[in-house]
Amino acid sequence: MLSLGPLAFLNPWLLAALAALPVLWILLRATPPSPRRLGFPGVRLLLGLEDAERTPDRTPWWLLALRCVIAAAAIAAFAQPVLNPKARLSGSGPLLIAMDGGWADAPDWEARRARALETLAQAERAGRPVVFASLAAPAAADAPLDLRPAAEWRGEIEALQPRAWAPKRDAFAARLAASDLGLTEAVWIRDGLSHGDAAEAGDERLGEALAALGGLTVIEAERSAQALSAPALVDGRLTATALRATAPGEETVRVVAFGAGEDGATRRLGQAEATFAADATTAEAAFDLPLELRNRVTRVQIAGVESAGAVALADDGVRRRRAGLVSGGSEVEAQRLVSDLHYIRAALSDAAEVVEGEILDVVAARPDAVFLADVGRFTDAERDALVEWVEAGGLLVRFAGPRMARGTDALGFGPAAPDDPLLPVALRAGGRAVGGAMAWGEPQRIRPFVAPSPFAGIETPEDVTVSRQILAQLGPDLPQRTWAALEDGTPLVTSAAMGDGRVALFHVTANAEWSSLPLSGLFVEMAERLLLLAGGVGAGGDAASLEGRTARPAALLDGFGRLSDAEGLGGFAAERLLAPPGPDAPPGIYRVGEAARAYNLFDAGATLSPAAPPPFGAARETLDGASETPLSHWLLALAVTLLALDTVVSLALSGRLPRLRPRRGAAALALVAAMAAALAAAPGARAQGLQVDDAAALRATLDTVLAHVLTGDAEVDALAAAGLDGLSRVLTARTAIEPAAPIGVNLETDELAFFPLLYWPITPGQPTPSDEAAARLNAYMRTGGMIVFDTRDRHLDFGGRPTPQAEALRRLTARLDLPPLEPTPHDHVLTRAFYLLEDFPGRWSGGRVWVEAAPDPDEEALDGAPFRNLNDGVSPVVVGGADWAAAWAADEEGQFLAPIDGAGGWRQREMAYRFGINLVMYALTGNYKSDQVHVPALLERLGQ
Amino acid sequence: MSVADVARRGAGWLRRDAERISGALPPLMAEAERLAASVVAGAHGRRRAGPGETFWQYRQAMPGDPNTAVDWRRSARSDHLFIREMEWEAAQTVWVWRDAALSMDYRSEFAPRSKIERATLLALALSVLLIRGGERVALVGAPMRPATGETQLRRIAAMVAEEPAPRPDFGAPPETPFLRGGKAVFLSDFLGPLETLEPALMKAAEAGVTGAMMQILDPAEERFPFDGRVVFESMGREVDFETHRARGLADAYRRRLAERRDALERIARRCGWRMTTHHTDVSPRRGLLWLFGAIGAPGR
Repeated sequence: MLSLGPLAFLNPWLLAALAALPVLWILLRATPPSPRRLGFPGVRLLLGLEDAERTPDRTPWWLLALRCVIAAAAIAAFAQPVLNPKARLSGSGPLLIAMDGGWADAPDWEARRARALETLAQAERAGRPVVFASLAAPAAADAPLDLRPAAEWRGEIEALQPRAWAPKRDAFAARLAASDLGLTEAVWIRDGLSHGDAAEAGDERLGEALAALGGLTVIEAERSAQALSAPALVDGRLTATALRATAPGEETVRVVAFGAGEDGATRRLGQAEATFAADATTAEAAFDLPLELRNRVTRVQIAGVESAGAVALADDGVRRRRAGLVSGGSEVEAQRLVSDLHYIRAALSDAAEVVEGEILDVVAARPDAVFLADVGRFTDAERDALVEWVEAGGLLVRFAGPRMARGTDALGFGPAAPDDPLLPVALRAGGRAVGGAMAWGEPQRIRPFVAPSPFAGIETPEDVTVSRQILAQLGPDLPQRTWAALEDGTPLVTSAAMGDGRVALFHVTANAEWSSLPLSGLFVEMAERLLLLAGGVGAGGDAASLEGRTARPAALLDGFGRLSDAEGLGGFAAERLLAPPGPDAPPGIYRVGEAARAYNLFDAGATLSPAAPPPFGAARETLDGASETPLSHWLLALAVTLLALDTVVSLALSGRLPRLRPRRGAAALALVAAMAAALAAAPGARAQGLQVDDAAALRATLDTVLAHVLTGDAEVDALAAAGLDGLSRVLTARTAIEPAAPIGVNLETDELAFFPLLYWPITPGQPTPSDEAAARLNAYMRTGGMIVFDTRDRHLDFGGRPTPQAEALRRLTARLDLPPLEPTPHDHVLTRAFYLLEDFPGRWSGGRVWVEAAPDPDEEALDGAPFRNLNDGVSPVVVGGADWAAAWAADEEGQFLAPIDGAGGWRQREMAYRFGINLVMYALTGNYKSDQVHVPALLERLGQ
Repeated sequence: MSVADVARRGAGWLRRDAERISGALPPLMAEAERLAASVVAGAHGRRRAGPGETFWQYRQAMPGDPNTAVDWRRSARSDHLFIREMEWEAAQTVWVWRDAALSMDYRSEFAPRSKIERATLLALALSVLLIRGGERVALVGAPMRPATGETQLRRIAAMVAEEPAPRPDFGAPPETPFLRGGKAVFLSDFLGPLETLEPALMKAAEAGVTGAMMQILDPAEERFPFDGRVVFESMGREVDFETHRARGLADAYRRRLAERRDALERIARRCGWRMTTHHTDVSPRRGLLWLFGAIGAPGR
C-alpha cells in the first residue's frame, strides 16, 4: 500500500504504467484523425490545389492531454485508490481485536463496530485467524480465549451490543496472560476512559500485555463519552451533574428529565443546561420543576447521547418526600378539626408521604422533613436524635403554640433558650397577641415575601391575618433568618441552617387558633416549598439499610441507556449495590425490601478521568467519521466519461459532427430532455400509474358498472365479461339501470369499492387471494358490496364429493369473512326485486342459490303479508352454480354465446335474465321491495 | 423511370407513374406560374415597337428612317414627318437548357432546394412567361420542336419532370439545331470541364443565337464552409480530391471559382451572351427577372 496523505493505493505497482504516458503521447500525436468523404460538385475546382498547412493532421495538444488523462485515470483506477485509508494490518499470524464494549462505547457504537468489522475484513483477506473480545462482556475469569477464522466472528460482531457497565480490562489482561495462542498483533478499540479507581492499573496492565504481543493499534474516539451522575436534591432543586473526562473548553450540554406523564406514558418533564467551565470536568444541571413534576421524574439523561452513562435513574430519594409529623398535644379523636396537625397533614398529604408518631419513631423512619407542632420540650434522646438527623440534612419545621411559649418561659426569663439548637432564633417569652378583644392593634397581615426566602413568588392573600405570635429576640442575624414577616416587621417564619440540614420555625400555631394562615391556600403552598427544600436523606443510601437484604432488579438499563423491564430476574445481596455496576449487577432500578432504589453508574460526586495513554510504541488512531472510501469506480467512471467526450471532440475535429444549427439544437435539446425524462423515469412512471388509476376509477364510477373477477382463465373471463355485457344491455332496455361496459377486476391490484356487484366465476385453478386481497374483499363485503360466486358446475356432486369448482370455492373463500348462509327462502327479496321469480336458473337450472341466512329464521310473516321481513340489508354473498354469465352472454349482434339445451331453452334464458335483473336490483336497492307499501300490488299479481 | 419503361410493366405501373408525374407536375406548374405571374405584373413584357400588326405609336422621323416608313396621313397634319410604329409581335424562338447532371443534385444545409430543383423551376417559369407572351419555346436536348401554346408548356413540364436515365457527373449543352435569330437560355452550375461547354456555346453563337447563361450555385459551393480532413468527391464519384485541412483550401477554391466565372463571362461576351450567377438560397424571382430581362432584350 502506498499512502499519500488521505489517499492510498492498494496496487501501487500499477502506477508504474504511468511512465508509459509519454509514449502514448507520441503515439497519439503521430496518428491523425481519419478523413471523411464528402460529395461536392465543386471538386474539379479543387484539383491540383496544395494543402497550405498540415498541422491538423496531428491531434491537437489538448486532445492529447485529454487522452493521457483518460489513460492516467484508468491506470489510477486499477491501482485501487482508497480515500481515508485505515491502517492496514502489518503482520501475519493470529490477530486480537479487543473492544471495550462498555457504556462509554455506546454513543458511537456504530462507528466502533464498523471499525471492528473493517479490521476483521482485513484479517479475513489476509487469511489470519482472529480472537475477538468485548472487554465488558461477562466472561468467567478463566475462560480461554477463542481463536477462530476471521469470517466466523462477523456475525458475533454484528450482533454485539454495548454493555451498561464499564469494561473489565484487568480481568481481560488476566485472561490474556493465561492464554497461549501465539497472537502476533492486537487492535484495541477503546473508549478512552479510565473506569474506577482500581482500573487505572488495569488500563496500563492491559496496554502492556497487548503491546507485548507484537504490534498494537489503539483506536479511540476523538472525544470520550460524557456521563451523568445520579440526580440529587440540592436546595430543593433536582440537580444532576454532567461529567466529562477531559476539559477541552467551555461546553454546554442539555439534560432532560423524563418521567411518567398524566397518562402514565413516559414523557419529557423538563430540561436544564449544564455548562462546563473551560477547565472543569463537571457541570451541574439544575431543573426548575414544580413539586408534582419533580415527584414524577424517573430518570435524567444527557440529551442526544445514547449511553447508559448518560442516563441517571431517579428513585424515591429525589422523588416523593417523607414527612414526619409530631404534635406536642394529645390527639383526641373527637377533636380532629382543631388538632394541631390537621392542617399540616392536609397540606402535605398530596405531596409527601406522611409519618406520624413520637419523635423518636418519626426520626427513625428517616423522613426528609419533620414538622413539629407546638412541641415545647424534648427529652435528651429526642433532642440528640433530632440534631443528628438535621445535621445529616433533614429539614425540621416547628410551629409555635402555647407549649412552646411556655417552654420558653420555663427555660428562664430574659434571653430565652439561647442554646436551644433546634430553634432558628432565640425567642422572647410569652408571645404577643394583637387584635384581640383586649388589644389595641388590628390583626396583622403578612408582608409580601422577598427574594432570599424560599417562599418568594407566592402571593400573600389579604385575608390571612395573624392575631398571636411568638416573638424573636432581636439580633443581628434576625433579618437574614427571617423567611416571612408580618406587616409590622415581626417574623412569621424564621430559619437557620444547621449542619447539612435546616431548622425553620413558624411563629404561629399549626392550627387556626393564632392565625388564619393554616386555613388559607398560602399554607399549602408554603408547605410544598418547604418540602422542595427537604434534602434527599430519605432513601436510605447507607450501607446499614442494605445490610442483609436482597436486591431484586425491577428494570435494567442496557448499554444505550434504554430502560427495560426486568421483573422476575434473580436477586442478589443488596450490599452489592454499594459497588459500581458490573455484569452481575447492571445499573437499573432495584427493589430492596419495599423501597425502589436507583442503581446508577455514577453516584453524586463521581468524576470521569481519561484512560492511561497507550504504551509506548503502540499506533494510535482516532475513530473519525470518514470511513474508508474506495475510489476506483469513480476514476473508472471519469475515464469512461472522458472517453465519450474524446469521441465527441474527435468527431468534431474531423468535421463529422453536424454543426448545431437551431433546428438541430432543438432536436439535441429534445434528446437531452428525453434522456433526462428517462433518468427521472421512476417518479414519472409512478405518476403515470396514478393517472391510469384515476382513469380506471373514473370509468368505474361515472356510471354504474358491473364487475367480474378476473380468474386468469381467458375463456371464463371472456364469457363473464360477455355475460355481464349482455345483462347490462338487458338492464338498459328494461329498467332504469343503465350500466356501462363491465370491468374485469384483478383482486390483487384493483380497487373494489366502486362496484355494487362483483361476479366471481370459480375455476379450479384460480389462485387464492393474498391476505391483502382477502382483507379488501372482506372490507368490500362489510361496506355493502355484493359478491356473486358462480361455481358453474350445475350443482352437481358426485356421490357427495364436491366438484372441483366447489372445492375451489371453499379454498378461495377460506379467509373471507362470510356470513352464515342458507338456501334462498321462497320469500327472499331476490325473488321479487324486479320480477317475481321462483327459481334462479342460469345456463343450468335447478340447484340452490345460497344467500346470507336471515338473522331470525323463525320470524313469522306479519298479518296478511305474503313475505316475512327477513333481512335488513343486502346479502354480501350470493352463491350458486347455474353459470349465469354463460346464459347472459351475447355478442355484439345479439347472438347468444352459450347454448341452453332443451325445449325450454328460450324461456330459461329469459328467466336467467330476469334473475340477473333481480340480482342487480337487489344489489342496488337492497330490501326496498320488502316494503309493505307494495304488498297490495304484489298480492294482486300473485292472484291471492 | 421513363414512360416507356412503364408501358412494359403494365397498367398498374403506368397508372402509378402517371400519378407520380401528374402529381409532381401541378405543384411545379403552379409554382412556375405563380412565379411567372409575379414577373409579368412588374415588367410590361413585350410592349415595345417592332414588326407587328397593331398600332403602337407615332414618332418623328429621324434621319436614316426609310421613306417608306413615313406615315403620310399623319405627317400631313403638321410640318414634321412621322413614322407609324407597330407593336412588336414577331414571335421569338427560345431554347431552354436545364442541366440535369448529377452535380446539380447537390444541396447543402444552407439552401432550401437543390440546384436542379431551382433550375427546373426557373426553366418552367421562364417557359410559362414566354409562352404566355406568345413566344415559341423548346427544351434543349429534348425531342421537341419550338412551339407555343399550353400544349407545348405541358410537354415541357413533362420533360423537365422526367429524369434522363444515364446522368453524367457534369453536364454540357447537347447539340441542338438552333434556328437563326433565336434565343437560348442555359441553366447549369457550369462546374464541369470548360472544354465541353465552350464548343456548344460557339456553335450556338455561330447559328446566330444569343442568349443568357445562368450559373446556379449552392451557397456552400460559394462559401466552401468545410474543415478538417476531407475527401471531396464529385456527385458521381468519378473525381475525388483529398485535403488535410479543408479550411486551408477555402481561399484557393474561391479564387478558382471566381476564375471560372470570369472565363464563363468571357466566353459569353465573346458570343454576345449574357451571364449571371444565381444562388439557391435567394428568391427564384430574382433569377427569373434577370432571365426575362436578358431574353426580352432586343437581340442582334
